[in-house]
Order: sequence, then structure tokens, then C-alpha cells
Amino acid sequence: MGKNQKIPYLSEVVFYFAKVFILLFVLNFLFSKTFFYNQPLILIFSIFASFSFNIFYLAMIVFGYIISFLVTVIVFGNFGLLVVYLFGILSNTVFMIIFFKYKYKFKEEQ
Amino acid sequence: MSNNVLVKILLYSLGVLSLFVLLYAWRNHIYCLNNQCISFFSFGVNVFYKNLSLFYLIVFWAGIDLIYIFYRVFLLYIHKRKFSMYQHPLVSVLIPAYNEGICIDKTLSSCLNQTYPNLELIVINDGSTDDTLQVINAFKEQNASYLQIRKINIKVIDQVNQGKAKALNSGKAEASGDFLITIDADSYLNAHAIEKIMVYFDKEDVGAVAGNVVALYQDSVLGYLQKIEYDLGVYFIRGSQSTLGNVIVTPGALSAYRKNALKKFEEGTLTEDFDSSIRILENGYKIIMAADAICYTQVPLGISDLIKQRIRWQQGSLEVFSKHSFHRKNFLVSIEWTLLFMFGFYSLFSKFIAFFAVPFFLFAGNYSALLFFVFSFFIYSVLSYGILFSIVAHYSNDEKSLLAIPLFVVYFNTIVLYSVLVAQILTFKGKDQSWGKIKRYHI
Repeated sequence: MGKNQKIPYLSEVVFYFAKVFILLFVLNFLFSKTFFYNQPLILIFSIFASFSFNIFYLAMIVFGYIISFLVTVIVFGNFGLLVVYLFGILSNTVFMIIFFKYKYKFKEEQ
Repeated sequence: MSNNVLVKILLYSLGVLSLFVLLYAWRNHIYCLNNQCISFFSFGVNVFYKNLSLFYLIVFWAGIDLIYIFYRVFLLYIHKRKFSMYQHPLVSVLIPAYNEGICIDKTLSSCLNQTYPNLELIVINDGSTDDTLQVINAFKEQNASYLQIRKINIKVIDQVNQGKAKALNSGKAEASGDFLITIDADSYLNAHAIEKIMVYFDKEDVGAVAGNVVALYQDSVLGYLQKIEYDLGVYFIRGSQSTLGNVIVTPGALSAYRKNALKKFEEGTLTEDFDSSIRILENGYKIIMAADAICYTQVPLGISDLIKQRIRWQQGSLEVFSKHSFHRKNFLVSIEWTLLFMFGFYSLFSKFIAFFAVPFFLFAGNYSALLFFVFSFFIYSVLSYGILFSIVAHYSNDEKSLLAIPLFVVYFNTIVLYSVLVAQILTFKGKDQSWGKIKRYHI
């Protein structure tokens, strides 16, 4: 890296990673006590949840977690481990798009 | 040995190598299942490693990437359309500018040197705080006689700062031609660019044509990596999309539009070019690419400038995805839309999340698995980009680019991934960016 080159928004990214790991610890502890315990899913969902603490988005993430868990465990059994990975990320990105759709709609109305 | 043979040999050897990597990954997968790693950390690394094993990840990426590559190569192979247009309708060239005093005179000169006979130039100064307006007026005065001889009219619009899309709309309102060409104020057209790009409007259903944007890399490594990436976008992605008339993004640096196809340039998002082109496709028009209409554009040569630019692109794409995802599109456009979503956004995310697995290996003390993971990820990326770059080198005649693949994977991809992450964080926080303030160079 050359002289006078700064990486923009570095502090925000560090803060983001801190949030991911705190959420990972908390969610891992909480979900380990329930029927819905699935570690890769917790990792994926804590990464997404760290983006925003907006109630609407968090509700969608919890909804996504439960759906992903039920689909993989009930429908695919133990063989659907890759599906956990795929479906978890896909459902979350779709929820993210829906979240933005509403967010920008509100903005246009204002 | 001819270039074609070289490219073919490279492609075959990459294919064989990728098979070996898959076999090696499979062997390692079996090995790890038999020798259960002992975890002293409460997360249960073993469960995680078994669930999210490297083999599955590589199969997942390879499966999706290979299908994608075959789809694109098939489209490139069947491309046969021929174009002809012998009239020269009036073309309005829109040049929006914000603090581009250092380079706009060269851009205007490149427009005056065009071989296309029927032109008008509309320069929109969007509240620049530097000497952009003075440079434009001085250029107009200096070239007054030449403009008179060529019968080219330059209109200058001076407005308060409103953003690029609004600047383009003010230009469109003043335009008298049936065709609009938008170029960036830091881009320079090849002398035949407009003549070549207009040939592609041979049928009424062609709503827009995307030009070939070449990055001016000025002997910088970062610039050269961007040049390769631009070539990939032009020859591999847009080239194949053009076969069916579904080019999803018309670049802001050089694009031509049929005036009727576009009511206005879409406002409210950071990437107005992507937003407007998807609107044209939704309106039922086709968008194709003119690989022979060349435009040279400046690219950021510093890391911080590059990150800022990529953040703006990612934020803009996310906005456009959320804006247009639920709009009605025809089937073939929907395929391209999904592919763009998968490879521009979702696939980046899945690879990014895979890297989160690294701390798990560290906690487990399983360093050999960690090293293997990072090494395999690197090899996989080199192989997949090797295939893409070989295809692009066949069209762009730049075999030198194949040598830059490892650097592209380690250096450039890391910057892009970082920008993706920052763009998501900023978008969730509701922080919007306006015109990108990227350092310009006098060429």
C-alpha cells in the first residue's frame, strides 16, 4: 500500500465484527438450550443480524432461522447440511431485499 | 504457436487441475471425518467442521460457477447477429460534470474528433466548486470556428448540485436528437465510437446500446487489475448477454439510448445507469453491446479511491435490486437478473461467510485444516478465474492478463469483498453517498 493511503470506514468494519462475535456468543448460548440449535445457522444469522438492530429486520431474521431449521431438519433430515448453508444465506438475502423495498418505499412517500 | 492454441491448452490444463483439487478435497473430507478433531472450545468445532466442510463448499462453488460459465460460453458461441444502419440521425451527447475541470477539455476534444456527422453536445455542470464551467466556456470559445464548420452545437447547462441522474434529465430535456449518448466527463471516446455504436440501432426494438469501456491503467498495478475486470465485464458478461439483447447494465462511461425507450433517467439510486437500463428492459426493449465502440475511462489508482467507488456501486446495486426485484420482467431478462443477483451479491456473501469459518479452526487448534482451507480457497479461486480470463483473453488478445490471476485473487478480490461489506453496513445505517469524489488525473 502506498503512502497517504487510508482504508475508508475501517472503524465501522471493526465495530461490525465485534457485533458479530458478541451476537454469536449470545445466540449460541441461548439456542443451545432449545430444540432449535444449529451452529452453522447461528453463525450465518448473526452475520446478517449485525447489520441492523431494526426490529422489522430482526423479526425477519428470526423467522428465517426457524424456517431454515424446520426445512432442513424436518424435510431433509440429517442429509440436508449443505441446504442449511444455502437456504440460510438465500433466505436472508431475500429478506434483506424485502427490507430495503419497504425502507425505500417509505422514503419515497415522505 | 498461435494464441488460440495457447488459450485452448490453458483451458484444458485448468480443467484437469480443477479435477485434481476436487479429488484432493474429497480425500481430505474423508480424512477429517475419520479422525475427529478434538475441541477444547465450547462452540463445538467438530460439529461445525462436519456441517460446513470444505468439500461441500468447493462443490457448491464449482457447481454454480461451472453452470454459469457454460451458459455464458454457449451464448457467446451462438452469437450471429449482423447489423446495418446507413442513416445518420441527430445524436445528442450528454456530458454531466462535477468538479472535472482537470480532464473535461480532453473529453470535449474527443467528442469533436468523432467521425459521426450529425452531433450536438450538451454539457451539464452540476454545481461544480472548481473551474469546470470556465474550462467548458474557454473550450467553446477556442474551438468556435471548428464547431461552425462541423455544425456542432455545444449547449452548456449550469445548475445547482443535484446528482448525476438529475443532471442527465436536465440534459435530456434540452436534447433535440432522437438518440442520446451519455459519457462521463473523465472518459475519452475513440474517434469512431459514436459511428460504431449507432450502427446497432438497426431495429426499432433496440432501446439502448452499451459501449466498450477500457480502463486507462497508466502503468499502475491496481489500474491493470481493473482493466482486466472491465474486459471480463465487456467480453464475457455483456458479450453473452448481448446475444439475447439482455444487457443488464449499460455503463455510465459510454451508452447510447433511444429517446422514446426511456422516459427519464431513474433518480433516487446511486447507480442511475443500472437503474435506467433495467427500466428499459422492463419496458420491453432490447439492450445490446457494441464491442467496437471504444471509450477510455480513468479508473481510481489509489486503494481508498477504489474502495469508495466500489462501495458506491454496491450500495447502488443493492438499491436497484430492492427497487426492481418485484417488477414484471420477461423470462430471459429474469434469468439474467437472477444471475446478476447470484454472482454480484449472493455468491460474494457466501464466500465471505465461508471465511468466518477460519476462527473456528483457530480455536480448535487444527492449524493444518486451516492452512488447507485457505490454500484450497486460493487454488479454487485461481482456477475459476483462470477459466474466465482464458475466455476473455481469446477476445481481447491480452494473454498477459493470465499472469495477473493470483494477484487479482489475493489483492483485488479482497478490496472488492471489503467494499461489499462496508456498502451493506452503510446502506443499513441509511448513509447515502452522492457524487463519488475520486482523484482525477491529467492525461
